[in-house]
Amino acid sequence: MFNDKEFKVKVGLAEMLKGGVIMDVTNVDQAKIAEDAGAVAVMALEKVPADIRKEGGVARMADPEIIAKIKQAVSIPVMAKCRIGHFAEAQVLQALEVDFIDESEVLTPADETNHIDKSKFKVPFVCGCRNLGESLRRIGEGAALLRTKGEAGSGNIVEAVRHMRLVMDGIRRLTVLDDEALMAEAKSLGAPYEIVRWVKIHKKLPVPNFAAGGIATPADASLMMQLGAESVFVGSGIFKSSDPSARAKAIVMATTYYNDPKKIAEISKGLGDPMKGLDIKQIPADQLLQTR
Amino acid sequence: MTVQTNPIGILALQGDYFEHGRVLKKLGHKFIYVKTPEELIQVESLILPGGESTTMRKLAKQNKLWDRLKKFKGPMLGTCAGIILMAKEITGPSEEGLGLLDVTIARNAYGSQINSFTDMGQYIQKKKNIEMVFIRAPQITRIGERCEVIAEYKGQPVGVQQGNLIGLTFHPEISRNYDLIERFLSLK
Repeated sequence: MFNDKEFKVKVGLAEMLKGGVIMDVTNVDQAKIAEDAGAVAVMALEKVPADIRKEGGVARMADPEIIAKIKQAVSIPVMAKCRIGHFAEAQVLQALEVDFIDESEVLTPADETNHIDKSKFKVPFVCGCRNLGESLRRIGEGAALLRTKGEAGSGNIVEAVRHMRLVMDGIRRLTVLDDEALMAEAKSLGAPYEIVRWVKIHKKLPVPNFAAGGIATPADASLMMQLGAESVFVGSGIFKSSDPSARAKAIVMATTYYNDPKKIAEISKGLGDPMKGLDIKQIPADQLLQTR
Repeated sequence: MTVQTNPIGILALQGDYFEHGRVLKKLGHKFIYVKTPEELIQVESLILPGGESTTMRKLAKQNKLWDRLKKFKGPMLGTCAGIILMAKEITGPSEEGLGLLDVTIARNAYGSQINSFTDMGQYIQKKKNIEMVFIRAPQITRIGERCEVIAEYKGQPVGVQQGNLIGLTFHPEISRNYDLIERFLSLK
C-alpha cells in the first residue's frame, strides 16, 4: 500500500525535509528571516499558536493572499494549515499550490468526528499525533508525514516529549508481539490492521515523524531529535523570543548537530530571552489544543 | 574485487542522507555520515544528498565545510539539492555553488510539490529505462564541454558526469533502481 507512485512522491518531500527545521511565519519579513536562518520550509499562518491561544475566537486557514506572498518571497517549500476535517480549506490550499498541508489542531476543528480523506489530494499532508494509534489512523487516511502534537503555543516541551515517547514505545511494543496478537493490538490502538502489521515487520513508521508543539530552545530541538524525531517544527518559539534571527539559526544548527553537546552549548550562548511559556497544568482542560 | 579502505562519505547536514545510507548498506559498502571537517578527511568519495540546498549551504559555511568541499578531489555524487550545490552556476534565484560541476542549474524548475512526479527515464550508457523520482526538482539548463549526459527524461538531460563527478536532478536513493549509484561507486 505504500509503494504506489503518488504516495512515494508525497513521502519523498518529507524525506527531503529531514534533519531540518520548519518555522511558523505570519508575513514575508518573517519568512525571509526563516529562510536566511536555514529553515527547510516555512509554515504560513495568520497568527502563531501563542497568539491564537491568547486571542481566542475561531482560528481558520490563513488569508490566501498572505500565503501567496510568502510563496513568492522564498524559494524553500511553503506549508499551510487547514482546520481538522475542513477539506474545502485543504482544496483551497492545494489550489494555491502550497507544498504541504498541515491538518492542524492549532486551528479550530471543523469536524469533531472525521479527519480529511488525505489520499484524495495530490499535495501531501502532515498531521499531529499523541500516540501510535493516532499516528496510524492519520497514515490510514493518507498522511505522508506525522508530527507530535505537543502543546502548541505553550513554549513547554513536556507534551511533545510525552507524545514522542508514546509513539516510539508503541512501535517497540509492536515489534515484540506475536503475529496472533496483532489484530487485538490493532483493535486496542484503533488503527488499521495492515498498517499495524507493516510497522511490526519494518520496526518503524511508514512515513517520517517530526517533533512539534513546544520547542523553544536549541536544547529542546536536540532533545526531540535524540528521542527519535527526524526534524522539528518551531511555532511560536522563534518569533515570540527576543532575538528571532539568532534563535532560528541556533535551532537549525542544533537540529543538525543534535548529538554534539559541546556544539549545542556553544550555539546556545547569548540568544536573549526564549518565549516565556506556560505550565501545562495551568492551562484549563478545555483550552488544550492537543485533545482536538 | 578491490578492497575498499576508506569509507564513502554521505554529507549529513540536512536532507535524505539516511536514504543514501540505506542504499549503500544494501549494496554492501562501508560509509560514514559527514557533518564536520574531521569526518570529511576520513572519506575518499562523497555523496551530497537531496534536501534543501539553501540550508545545506548555510550549515556547510558556518561549520567550515564549504571551502573544503570546494577542494574535494575524490568521486562525488549529488542528487537533487546535491547537484545544485555542485554546480558552477545556479539560477532561480541565483546562488553560490561549489563550482565543481560545469553546469547551470535552475532550482525548483518544475514548480511546487504538486508538480513532483515519478516516471521512467533513460540511463543512456546502458540504454536502460530506470525509475526516476523528481521532488521539487531542478533542471540542467546549460552543460559544459567536459560534461557527458548520462541520464535523460523526455529528451532533457537530468544526469551528467564530468570526470569523477556525477550530478542527478532526481533521487535514485528513493527509487527502486540503483544503477546510477553503482556507476558512482565504480568511479576512482
